[in-house]
Amino acid sequence: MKLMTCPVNGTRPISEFICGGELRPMPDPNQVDDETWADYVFHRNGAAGIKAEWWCHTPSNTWFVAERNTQIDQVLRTYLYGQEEQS
Amino acid sequence: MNLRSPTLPSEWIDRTQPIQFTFEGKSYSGYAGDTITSALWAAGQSVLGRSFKYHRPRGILSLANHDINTLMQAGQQHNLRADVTPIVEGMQLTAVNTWGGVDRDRARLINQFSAFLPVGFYYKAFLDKVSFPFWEKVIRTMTGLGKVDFTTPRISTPKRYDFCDLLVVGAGPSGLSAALAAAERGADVVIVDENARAGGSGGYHYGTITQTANLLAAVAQHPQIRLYTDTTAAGYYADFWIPLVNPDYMVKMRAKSMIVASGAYEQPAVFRNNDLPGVMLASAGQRLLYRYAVKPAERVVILTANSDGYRAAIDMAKHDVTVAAVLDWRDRPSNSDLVAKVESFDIPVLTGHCFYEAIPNSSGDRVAAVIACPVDTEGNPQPERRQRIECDGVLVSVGWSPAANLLYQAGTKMRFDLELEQYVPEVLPPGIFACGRVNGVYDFAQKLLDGQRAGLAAATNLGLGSAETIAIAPASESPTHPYPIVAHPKGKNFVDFDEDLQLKDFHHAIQEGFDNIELLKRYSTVGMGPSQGRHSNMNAIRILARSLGKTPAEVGTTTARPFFHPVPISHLAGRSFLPERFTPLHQLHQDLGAVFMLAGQWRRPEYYRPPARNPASPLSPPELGDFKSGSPQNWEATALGGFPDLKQVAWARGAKDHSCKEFYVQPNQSREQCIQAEVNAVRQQVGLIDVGTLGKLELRREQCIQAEVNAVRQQVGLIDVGTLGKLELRGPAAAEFLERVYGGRYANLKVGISRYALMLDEAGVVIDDGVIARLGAEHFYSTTTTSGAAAVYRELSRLNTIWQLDCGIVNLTGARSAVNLAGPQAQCVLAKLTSLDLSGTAFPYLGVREGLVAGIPALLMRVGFVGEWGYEIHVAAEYGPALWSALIEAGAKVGIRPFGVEAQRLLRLEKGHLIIGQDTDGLTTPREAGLNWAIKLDKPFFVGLRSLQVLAKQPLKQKLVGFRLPQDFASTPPQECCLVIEGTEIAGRVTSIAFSPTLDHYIGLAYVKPELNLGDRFSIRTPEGSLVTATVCPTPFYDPESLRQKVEAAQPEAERSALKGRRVSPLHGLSSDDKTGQITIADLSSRPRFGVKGSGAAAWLASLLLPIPDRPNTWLPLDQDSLIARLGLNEYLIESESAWTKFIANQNFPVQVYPVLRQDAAIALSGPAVNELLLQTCNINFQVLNLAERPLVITTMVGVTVQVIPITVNGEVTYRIWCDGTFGPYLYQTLLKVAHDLGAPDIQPIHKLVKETP
Repeated sequence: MKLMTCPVNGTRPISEFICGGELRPMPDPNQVDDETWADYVFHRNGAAGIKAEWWCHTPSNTWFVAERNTQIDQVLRTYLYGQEEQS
Repeated sequence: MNLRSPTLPSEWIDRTQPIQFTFEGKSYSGYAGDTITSALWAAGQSVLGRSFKYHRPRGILSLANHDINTLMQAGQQHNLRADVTPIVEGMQLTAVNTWGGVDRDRARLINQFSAFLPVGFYYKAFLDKVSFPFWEKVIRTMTGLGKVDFTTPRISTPKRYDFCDLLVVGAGPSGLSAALAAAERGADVVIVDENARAGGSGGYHYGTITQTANLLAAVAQHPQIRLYTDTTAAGYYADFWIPLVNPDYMVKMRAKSMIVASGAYEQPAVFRNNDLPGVMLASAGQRLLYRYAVKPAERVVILTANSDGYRAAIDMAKHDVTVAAVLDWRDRPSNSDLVAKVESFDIPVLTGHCFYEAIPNSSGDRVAAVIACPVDTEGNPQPERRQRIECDGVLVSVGWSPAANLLYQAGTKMRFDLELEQYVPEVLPPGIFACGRVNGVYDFAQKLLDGQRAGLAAATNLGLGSAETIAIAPASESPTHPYPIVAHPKGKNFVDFDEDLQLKDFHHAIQEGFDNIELLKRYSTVGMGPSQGRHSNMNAIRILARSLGKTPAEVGTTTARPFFHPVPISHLAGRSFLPERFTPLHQLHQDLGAVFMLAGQWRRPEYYRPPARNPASPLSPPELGDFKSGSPQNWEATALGGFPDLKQVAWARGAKDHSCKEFYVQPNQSREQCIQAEVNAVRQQVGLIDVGTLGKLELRREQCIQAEVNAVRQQVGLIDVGTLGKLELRGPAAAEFLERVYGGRYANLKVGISRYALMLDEAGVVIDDGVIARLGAEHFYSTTTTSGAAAVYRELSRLNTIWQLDCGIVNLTGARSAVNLAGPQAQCVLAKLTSLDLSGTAFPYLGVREGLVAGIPALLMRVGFVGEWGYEIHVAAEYGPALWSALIEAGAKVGIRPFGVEAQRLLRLEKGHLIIGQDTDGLTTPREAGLNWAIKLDKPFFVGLRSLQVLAKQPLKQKLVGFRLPQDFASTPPQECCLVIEGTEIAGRVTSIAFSPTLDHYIGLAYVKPELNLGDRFSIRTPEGSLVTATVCPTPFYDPESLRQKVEAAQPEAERSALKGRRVSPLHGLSSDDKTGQITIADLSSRPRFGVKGSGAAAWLASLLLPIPDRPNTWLPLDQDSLIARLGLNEYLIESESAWTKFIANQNFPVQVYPVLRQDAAIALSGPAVNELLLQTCNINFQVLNLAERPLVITTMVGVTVQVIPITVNGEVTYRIWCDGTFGPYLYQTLLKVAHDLGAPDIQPIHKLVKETP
């Protein structure tokens, strides 16, 4: 079982976490056209590579960001949202 | 024939403990420490099993669990591997897969027809629809290993977690040396070995036994090393997660690095009749001799291609086994000292020789001679110059194949070393190391060095010390022959012993085009038997390589997958943890006869079977009935007399249809006495028996539900809605947050009023609903669906992580108990318990009030989900039972009745209310569900708004409508999910349907084409296929003007009781066994505690003069037994009487301080076995925590979220554990069960009813 490191609670087995999907900034709903919005809502980029993802340590309800190389399934680093520079 | 040697110093057997057992009906004896194989072999039994396909007699091949020649069954234990299974007194063994016993297996005739069983037989046989069923039947009859006994009891096998710095796999010379080197640097080392004793080849190799014993002694004394024998490392999973399997259970080991010192599998030579009993690997002969003091035979011939065969010759000669000859496949042996030593025993050494075939004895059960012949310069045999050598045993040592399974699984890149003729690791993943034979190192001294090198490298990798260079001398010879395979015109030269694959099978498969190693494997099934190619893969690669004119490196290997070795299903199933949640009212429901259903993790009353009353009954009251399943309540349906055998009536009928009461339990009477008393009553006075359940169970359930519905419609009902998600939001931006999350408008919601709330996802799909109540300008309380609670809270937390609005969200789902009191008499019942003005003007529909109910602080909401005047009453979980009891008592005179989920579903359907997830699905938009009234499209933003704007431009595809079936409809009704049919097309589906007793016809909700209007008809296909016509009709079906919310009940004279609510522990009433023992579990739930969170929490707590832990997930002691704990960054848990008093007095919270109602189940665990209990229930290594730092761990235990603090009390560690009270009973009882398995636990008395309301 893989390990994941919660920035607050430390390294735990991955069964204590859920993945909340790729971190994707929402386009300004008042500015975008329908097609761009639909692309944001429905399309996901499945290409392997380094991705920033939402993860949650469920026992403590701690959301954080994990940078993961999805090609080799390796977690590069984790940090609290907005605290990237401190990681 | 007795092959047992005189006592050897190295032997594993205890000759003072003889053990008797039977094999195939014959009695045998051995000694404690013998395996089944060694004991049988010592007694001269050479046929130990039959091969899978040709039913050929088989004996010892590897004696190391690398082959399955000797699979046996002992009662309910099947497929025992006799080579490694210890004998047990009285064991009754049979060989598997024989027809009429191992010695005269009738299926041996198949051996004569082997020509008709070509390679790829399955693929060739299963050609068409005619041959498939025929061959399937034949093959199913012929094949299969062992017989399953379906009466085998279910075994709850423990599972446990374990942790170490370094896991060493294999306790042979190199593994031991590696472990010592790493442990000396300070690493916490675990060594596992699949054998009963450690030492590996060092225990049976000439000249290495003493040194190995010294190594073992050093390991045993080392405090940093744990050695587990009889334990297989069964696979490698990510991040050093390795299942360790021993005979009793599985350990999930989490290491930080791993050294694979798993050695090598000795490989058989391929020649005709190489599978005859008596022909075995040289290492098998050595193991047999040194471990069990059993000679492989009286007179052996040894075939070798390396130094190991010479050492085996010396071992045999020294222990009174005649060695007829040593045949060396090579022209020139590499080690002349060994040759000289062998020749000094007068053993002829024939170089450049190999076997052409082995000859069986007259009865075919053992080898009688070998035909040897010289080889040409290419290594090919020259049978024209053959000679016969008489013997009764053959030892073969021609090569090795690395036991690299774990290395492959860990992602090691291997290369084929042409010097060694072996795959060796080329690039190892970080943290993974290899040493010894698996690393291509064969010399004993070099193996020790290689182990030391690997151990130091692993320690360095762990940050213990710095790197050192240790040079390993290159091998002086190749231990492996490049092609130990001899063709023979008559075949029966086996490559795979599991699958009976001969050399020619490979040639045929390759000719047929399966010339890729993966294709060859699947077509021929080589390596696919239970031994997974340990003895066959390498030879298969060599055959393919030679056929194609390639090197083994170019051919490549097949993929090695977990498990390395078969793992019993019972180990894998093991003890499983599936948490269940109970509301605080669970016991009260049980007492009321609730029939429970699962709603996610929750157990909820589906409906109640109230105990029937029949004063005429001379029998015991039915409340005491011992129900087999279901229960007979239909006391009106009495029938007596004329039963031929009353005893049968009294109990056998229950067994027959499993729906009747077996008997009625009387105090202090046995079952038989009870039954006799019932029979006597009928014989002598009068008896009463329920026959109403016969074939009418379904109806009875409906009756219960309809009675509950009627109670709500006509009097008053009470339902436990504690499973609803309950969230509290506070802060200046709380309204703004809700506006963004939900579709409705909440900024303008008046204090004291609630409003329906609909949550959408970004695609505009309905995902959850609830009610939002405004308790103050910056204070909201909201509910979610039962199933959505956890996910909604989590998603709201994520959204506010992004939005950073100034508000806090507290999840009170488990901390609050909630009930819905509904019905025309609701007002009148509640008035007896509260001083709140309940008149419709003072407390209108959708109003929200806070006040005391039965002396309990409560939040009350006027709701109308079931369509009657109703109050949802939310209180702290500990007061839930007191509130429920008070309401039931207050409503007794007006016929209050508890109602369950099923009645509620019907009631809400009559009212036309949707259930999200039942009446909507993963694509439903508010417009389709008719919920547009609940969303405000003119708001600037909410999740899903933008998508709704897009959808608004598109035509509606379907819509949810109410429908009814004709009044006279009497056949089988459609069910939920039945399809709406238009012509021949699907035009929608039913989402809810039920018979409404109030309206006296079937009503339902269905998605239909949007063109349908009120009064239109459409067709629904029933499960039987017939079509039913339904009519679209308006919703609500019942009380469309909501007059029920306006008709006030006559308010009774306030006879408010001065009841004081009693607090009840979440663990109330759980059984408590008390015994002295290994574990102490105490219930500390009643201690006063509270929580606070938010960025202002620390400052606010400091203002109450509390010390603040300076680091996340630590705690500080307060006075006496109390403490303050910091949960993560900004949340605190305080358990202290005095602090709690201050907290209660200070209910004005500044911004960014959010109180958290704590209603935990709190326990304390201690005792000598507490570590073992934790290892079996929680995947956290508590042993490495530094208790001086006062750590707190937020994790899961038995699948339940817990907060754990280890506290040292008088030198002993006590684990304080807190969890959501609704998970408390599951956690407590599961820990209790595990504790029982570990040894009797000492459970401190449960604090049942705790203190009065302050």
